[in-house]
Amino acid sequence: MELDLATLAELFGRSFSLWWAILPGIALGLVVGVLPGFSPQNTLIILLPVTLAMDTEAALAFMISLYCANHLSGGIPAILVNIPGSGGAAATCIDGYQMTKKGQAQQALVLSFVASVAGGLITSVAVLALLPFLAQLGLVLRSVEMVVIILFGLTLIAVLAAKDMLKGLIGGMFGLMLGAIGTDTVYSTPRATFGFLELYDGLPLVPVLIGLFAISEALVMLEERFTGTPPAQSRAAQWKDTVEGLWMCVKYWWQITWTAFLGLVVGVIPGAGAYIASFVAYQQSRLFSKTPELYGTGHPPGVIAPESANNGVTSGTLVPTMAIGVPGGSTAAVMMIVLQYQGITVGPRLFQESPAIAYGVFVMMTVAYIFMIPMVMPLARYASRVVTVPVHYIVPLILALTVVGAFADREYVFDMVLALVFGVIGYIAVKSNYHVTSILIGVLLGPIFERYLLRSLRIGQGDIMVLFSSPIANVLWALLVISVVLPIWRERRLARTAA
Amino acid sequence: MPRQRHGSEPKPAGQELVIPALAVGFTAYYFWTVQELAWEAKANGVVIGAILLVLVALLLLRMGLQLARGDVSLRATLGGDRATDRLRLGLLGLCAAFIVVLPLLGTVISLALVLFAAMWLLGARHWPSLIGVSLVTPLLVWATLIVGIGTRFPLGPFEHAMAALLGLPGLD
Repeated sequence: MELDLATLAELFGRSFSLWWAILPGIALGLVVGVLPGFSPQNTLIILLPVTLAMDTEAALAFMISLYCANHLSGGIPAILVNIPGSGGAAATCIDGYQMTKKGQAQQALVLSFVASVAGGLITSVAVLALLPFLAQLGLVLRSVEMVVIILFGLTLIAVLAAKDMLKGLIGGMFGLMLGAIGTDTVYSTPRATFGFLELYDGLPLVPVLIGLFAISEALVMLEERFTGTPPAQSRAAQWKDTVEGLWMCVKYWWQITWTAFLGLVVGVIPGAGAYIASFVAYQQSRLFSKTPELYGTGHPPGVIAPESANNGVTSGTLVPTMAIGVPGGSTAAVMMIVLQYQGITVGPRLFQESPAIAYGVFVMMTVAYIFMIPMVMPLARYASRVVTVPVHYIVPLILALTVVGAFADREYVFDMVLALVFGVIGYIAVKSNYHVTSILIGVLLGPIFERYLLRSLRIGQGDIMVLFSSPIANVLWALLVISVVLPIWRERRLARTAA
Repeated sequence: MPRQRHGSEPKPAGQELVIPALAVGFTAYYFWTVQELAWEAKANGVVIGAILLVLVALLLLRMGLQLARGDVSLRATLGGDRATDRLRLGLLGLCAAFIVVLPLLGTVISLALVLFAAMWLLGARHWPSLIGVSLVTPLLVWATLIVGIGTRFPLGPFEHAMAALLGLPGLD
């Protein structure tokens, strides 16, 4: 399938016809994005039984809308109550809350919404334009390169996302090891199944996902009495404030554009994510500003930069997922699991095997942002009230619904038990600073890694040196080594300077 | 005797060994199950397992150095207070109980009971909310997942009664 104008028009038409999946996705994403600590992947996990029953395109449209809306609404509590709804909105607190304290809450919300929608739209259109080039990747990446790419992806996640690189790497390799459970692909002999027939097909991804993310997070949430603090009294918003906010967006259009691209670039790097993108955008925006002293005092570009970058990340995160099969973050990992369940293997060959999905994802994202424009203003006022939902209602609901969700995939009670076991592992991992996303991505990529490794070893007649036989792979090996060594070297240099 | 930096208590780090211990234990078990298999069946696990063991050895080395400097101790803590830990264990116990009673009572009744008990355990005492959430959520699960999507959740008295009452095919 070539990506010409007619194909694009067809994909847009199909995406618009999925409005019935996109609108609830946006509404739900906006509401749950306001809840601090309640991530989009958790919402997707709770709704897994529903998305698994939908057809692939509708499920994707729903998940993407929810994901994008979630990134947008994380800024609402950041602005109103100084609590970021998601990690990507943390930088928005700095100037957003100051604007609220100055009585400019409505202007800050409008800035946040417009920057988010524009940032998301600009970058999803940009990715669409780049996709034909990305599709060529499938022609140059073979088994050997894929083995290195998977290891490189896991290393980047450990370096950038985990607080401790060594622990991040241990998490990722532990995940890959767990992904090797089940019968082998050549002789069908069981490996490390603990005698359970239910594990012969490998570790089921849905219960693992539910345990590592949802159950562990629910157990962590118990430490908070509320998901947030009640919003402070602020002046009632007026239409004049909205118009003023819109005018500010026009004034700072260039700021919105370049910070969105910055978010896109950061999003493409596996493991970097919205948190890093929004802070990098905030810092860069301040660096190039003529009035850097105004940042932190309720300056509009201080809201625009992180929000635009935060939403630029959404399309960036999906690029490595679709192009090389390495999810850029946890929500992308959830989407990859749903796609695998539907029989679609993401990765370099996706553009040849399922082009409607590969290109369609970014078209759906563009359509979701278009739908968001009229929806976001009226919902914002009510969404902020969700911040005060007490934990004693939220936690039981998450636990009960996700344990039920673990059953829905394969209809085994065994999977519910497995979800609880991984919930405990995930909780211990979170509390001892092991990165759960690394573990999950390891489990997810485990069987794929084995397939590529075996294929490479067969080509090399069992010689492990085949992994160093390709120029592209060797470059990737070098980058992998640099990405591990560089942070250690920098840390040592800083420590020596400090001493 | 490890030297301790004056003025600061060594940080507890025993909890950081739980995941590596699980990883090493699982790797050893994996190696044991594949020892007699053909190379194709064990190559993947051996490559990953070897890297994992090296990484864990590095972590132990780093921790050993920190212990020797007196920066950390082997005391383990997950950072929560005892009351919250008890709530956590209680919730996990309720989830386990839910899985046990599920085949006996069916999805709707089990879910209603576990939701009510969990909210009560966490201190919810507002009766209308307690009853509302405990009733509405299982009914939504029943309507969407069991009746709508047709997932074969364990059925109990409620599901059978509703199937007979409403004449739902395949559920009675």
